[in-house]
Amino acid sequence: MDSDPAMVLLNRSVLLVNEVTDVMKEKGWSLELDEKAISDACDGITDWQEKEKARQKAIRAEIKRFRANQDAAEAILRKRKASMPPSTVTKFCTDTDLRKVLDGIELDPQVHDIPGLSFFRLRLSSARHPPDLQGTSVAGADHNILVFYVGPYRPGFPAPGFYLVYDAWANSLSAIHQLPYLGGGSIGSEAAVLRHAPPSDYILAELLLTGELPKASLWTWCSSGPSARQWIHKPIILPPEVCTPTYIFHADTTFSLGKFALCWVDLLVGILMTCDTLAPEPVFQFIPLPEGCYMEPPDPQDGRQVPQEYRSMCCGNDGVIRFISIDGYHQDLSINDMKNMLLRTWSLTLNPKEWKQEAALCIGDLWSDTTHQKLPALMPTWPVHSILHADVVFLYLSGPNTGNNTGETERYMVSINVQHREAISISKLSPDDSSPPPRYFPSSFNSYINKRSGREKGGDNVTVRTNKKAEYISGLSEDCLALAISLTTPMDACRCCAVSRAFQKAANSDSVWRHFLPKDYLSILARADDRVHFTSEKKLLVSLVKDHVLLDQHSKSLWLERTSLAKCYLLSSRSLAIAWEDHPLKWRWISLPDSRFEEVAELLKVCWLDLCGRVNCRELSPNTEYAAYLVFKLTDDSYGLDCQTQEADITMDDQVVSAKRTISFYPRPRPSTRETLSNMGRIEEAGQAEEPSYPRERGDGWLEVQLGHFYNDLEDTGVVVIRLKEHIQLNWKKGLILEDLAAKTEEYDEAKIS
Amino acid sequence: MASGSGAAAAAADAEEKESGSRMITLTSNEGKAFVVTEASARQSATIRSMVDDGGCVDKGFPLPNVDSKTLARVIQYSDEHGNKEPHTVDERAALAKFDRDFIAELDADKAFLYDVTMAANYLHIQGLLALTTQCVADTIKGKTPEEIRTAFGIEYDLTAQDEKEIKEEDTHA
Repeated sequence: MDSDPAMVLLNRSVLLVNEVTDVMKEKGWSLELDEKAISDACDGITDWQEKEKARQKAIRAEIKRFRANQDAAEAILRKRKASMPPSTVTKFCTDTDLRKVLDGIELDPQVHDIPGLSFFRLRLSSARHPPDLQGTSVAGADHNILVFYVGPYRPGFPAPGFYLVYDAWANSLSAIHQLPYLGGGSIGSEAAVLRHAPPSDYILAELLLTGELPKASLWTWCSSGPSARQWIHKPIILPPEVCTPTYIFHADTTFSLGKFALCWVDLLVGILMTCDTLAPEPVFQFIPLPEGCYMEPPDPQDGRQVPQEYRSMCCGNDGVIRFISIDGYHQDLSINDMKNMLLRTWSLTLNPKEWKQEAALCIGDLWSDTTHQKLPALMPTWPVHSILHADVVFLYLSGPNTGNNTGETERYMVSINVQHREAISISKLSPDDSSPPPRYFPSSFNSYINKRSGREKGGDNVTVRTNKKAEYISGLSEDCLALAISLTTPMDACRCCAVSRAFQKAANSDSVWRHFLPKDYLSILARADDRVHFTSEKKLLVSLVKDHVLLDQHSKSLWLERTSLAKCYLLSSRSLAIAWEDHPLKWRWISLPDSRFEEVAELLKVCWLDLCGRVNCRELSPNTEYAAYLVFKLTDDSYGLDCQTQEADITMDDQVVSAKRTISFYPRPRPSTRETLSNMGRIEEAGQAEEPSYPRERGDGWLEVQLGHFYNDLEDTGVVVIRLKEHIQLNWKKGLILEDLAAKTEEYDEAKIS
Repeated sequence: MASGSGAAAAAADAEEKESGSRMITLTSNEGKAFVVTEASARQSATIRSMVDDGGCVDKGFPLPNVDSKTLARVIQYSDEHGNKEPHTVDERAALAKFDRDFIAELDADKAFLYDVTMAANYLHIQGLLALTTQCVADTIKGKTPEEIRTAFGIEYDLTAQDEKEIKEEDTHA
């Protein structure tokens, strides 16, 4: 269903067309009761009672005539429609009363190329029980889904009306009944809509304030899923920033971000965002506007005016939130004040949440620049970002014509490249697009119209398919393909990127890589000492494989093993329990430039060597084989570190899972040197015992020696204890520099792979 | 806008639901009607929620995203899984065999496999979606990009720019 990117500027106002009255007008039938006929009927009657009777009778006759005309007009309409190709729109509604209303209305998108304005026309083709359509407007949009408030209804405002959802891809219309009125006002003037799964799964959301801030109500209506097709109420708590005693947050605009997040934006203050609208208890957070953009809460007497006249915010197709503001704008300013007006744009990075100023240009300069397009000398207003091109913004100009002095109002739409500081195009809007200034926003709904594959229109499916082999993949939506790819391996997903565009898009999607990442990756990232920056889940996974992340106040370091993607840890020597660690003559803490950690432990001199590290099983990957290593270095004057009774073992919940084994910190003796070593280390005493574990070079200046293996099958509760000790021989030991204790999965031998 | 008589209707519905004999009509986008048992229809979370809502059970459910051929195959699955609950080892084995045969047949016609996958996704039939996506995944696993293209009959549509990006990413990874 993916389509070429395209966008329109969509006017929120919906043009209402009453087809019945149009036919009546066409036929020359009066749309009102004939007052004259009524007064004629009672002419000459003197008795007032008789006169009233005659008047009532005449009115009834007029109504009857009027109804007959309406019926005739409807019949004409039906006949006309019968001769036209049948409507391809599918209509959905579970409510019987609403269904009747829905049957009598049609919605026509009127798409005009940018910088023209697109709009919707709502046609009423039944005169019976006509709904009150006045006030109908576009309430919200996401991709192919558009939501309308039909009639004067707005949430928290008891008036007739309902919601209409138009799906440009499926070409369907759904009517949804209004929210139950429980008092409390809406937080904003637009409905929020989130298409959480393509092509047509969406959530409608309304945020209502309660009398007791910060408590608020989130109402959601899902098109699919277990609790679909009903308004669901969730109590939520608003962040403190949006409910100060002096100012109540008002959402001027709403938009979705990705597949889970919804944003309500007060253009004077900031963004109220929930990252998981589908969660049972969605959490809301507040992101202030860029520095210096926060406006003093206006005097309540004055009202907020209309911030959209000089500000807007939207989320581009690239998933970036952009904010635009005309500084110094005021309704009553004259064209000469333009030199003091500054157009600025920002983009928001989400991790961390920071605004970056993208462009700043003086409006006056733009207007006085004559090298490109000469702009009409009219005050720019209603700035809107393009959702396709980060650098393009649109401005609306309107005012009395200055050229001829007719006083006629002229209206223009101008597009500007803010980086190049030049006007790209100017379009004069037709004067009859008329009076109220348009309230428009960028939308890409038009790119979905007629994009649905032609299969459902009938015909021989099989031949279509065999002729167009390449169409196969367009038959599988990105999310279905991503679901399939997530069942493969990261290697497969990487290969999928080179298959085709559709595969590439699906294989790079966050949902695939989220599947490969550890289940608790978000809580791990929350424990990171330095914030981990990532732009996609794939990049995050790659960075976790290549680099380590320091966690829990530098006490451990995490990475993912390249092939198994299991969570591996280094436990810093500070986080280990070391006997005598605080005794200044036995151990000391030093900093080394080649250490991952701030401090490492150096063994000065002990007899009693005992160190132990602990890991919770739930921090490790489930059902995975791990090996434990001690990472260390030796000083030049080290000794005593290869005693036969220097042993390591591993227990899980007090059960020994890796039996005692002898650990040597010295390299495996070559036969010729065995004699000399044995004098120091007394290896000969246990000549026939199992061979000790010897260290190996890591290639980074450190050595590692394996302490044992264990299999993590205690997902939730267990604790792994890895211990090294020498309590028996009690010979003097010196010169061990302890970097960390590693719990990792066994890598494949690098040499064997390459 | 809900009418007051809704409660009475819901009660009547509940009674009917208990009897378990309710039939539900699903209409494909070509207008073809399929009558299935409620148990079968309830395999779809989408329809289940609409039924539980007391929605238009009598009028049936139009499925604008599903064609007749696909719907027939989806119903074959949901009948098998919805109408009988496996109790014995043999019954479970029979159901597993049904799944194997069902997917083997689809696997032979990738285009149809896609349609069924899309329908399972749209109708939220978890078991069927897991079965079909696993089949797609198994086709992908261990194959080179060229082999994947052949398996799915996909044309190569990546631009030089795309390729360059892939190469760059590979060197990073």
